[in-house]
Amino acid sequence: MKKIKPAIIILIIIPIIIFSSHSYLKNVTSAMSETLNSAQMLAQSGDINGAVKMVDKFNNQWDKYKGVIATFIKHNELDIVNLSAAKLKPLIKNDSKGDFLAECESLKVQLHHIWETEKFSVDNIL
Amino acid sequence: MGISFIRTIILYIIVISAMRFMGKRQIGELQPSELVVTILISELAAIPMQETGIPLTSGIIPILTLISCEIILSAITLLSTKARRIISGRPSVLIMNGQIIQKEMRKLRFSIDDLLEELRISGHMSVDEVDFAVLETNGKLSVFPSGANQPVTAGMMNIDIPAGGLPVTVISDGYVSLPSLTHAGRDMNWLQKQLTPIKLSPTAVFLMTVDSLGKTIIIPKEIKNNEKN
Repeated sequence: MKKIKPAIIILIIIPIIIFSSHSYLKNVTSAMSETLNSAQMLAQSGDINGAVKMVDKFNNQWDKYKGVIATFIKHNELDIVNLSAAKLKPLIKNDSKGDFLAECESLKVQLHHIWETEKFSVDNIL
Repeated sequence: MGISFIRTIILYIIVISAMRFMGKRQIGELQPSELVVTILISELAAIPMQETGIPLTSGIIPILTLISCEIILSAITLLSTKARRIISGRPSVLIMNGQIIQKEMRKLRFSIDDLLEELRISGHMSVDEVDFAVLETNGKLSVFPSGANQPVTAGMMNIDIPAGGLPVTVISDGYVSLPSLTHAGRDMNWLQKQLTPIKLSPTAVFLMTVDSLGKTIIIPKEIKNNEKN
């Protein structure tokens, strides 16, 4: 019976960790999607330097957060983002605006998918 | 490769700790729910060990959840008889007063071969040697032989046998256990007195036990061939 207290504590701590990780994922993926939105808008308005700066900002954000994200998301999901993120700078620097915008959109979908996979929904549970 | 190695060590520590946390039981003594949890834990630990692309937490969190649920469930079954009946089931009587309860066997899908096998394992050649046989909730068959087939006990013969108590190991593989020696109510002087007449030092003793009646068993270490030469 002395083990019941630690067992209850574990069962309380686990949902707290899960909710915190979920909230963290939502915040960081939203922040990165917003950076990509800004980069898309700057590229569309013809401000290539501004778009490059936004891409750098996105890369910094991704480098900062991916270590933590890797602890609760399958690593192949992160590899997709890594590959896509690596394409952004060469695309915008080489004036491939259309491809750049498409890659940004693809990244946003992937980031949303990362959050979606951890979301508490009937779809995910079933 | 290196990642798998480190992950394996981490998961090994977690699984061993989890099993210790669950308590001491052998495979044959596990309740059905405990057996399921044990198998599930081994499966859950194996996946992140092999697949380095899967986060370690996806193995650790289900293991901790299962262990916690199992402990809580076992606590509930301890507190409530009703819960115990639902979770662990009831023991089933398969032989009553020497008669096989065929209806119960059909209900449990327990064949006559299974019954005879279990009776043979418990040392009974025939059904008529048995008064009662109960299939316990952990799947083991408890067999109670009929009066004529019960082994003779000291009590039946009116023989008074003094209780020897649990033998305490005071020397194991040459090492003297002082806590065991104290527990047995002895000291190093007593130990020396026991070993000196037989010309042994504690390091030369493989096993030495003493019970509450003072009966000692001393097994000297075997001398290796190269040591003899």
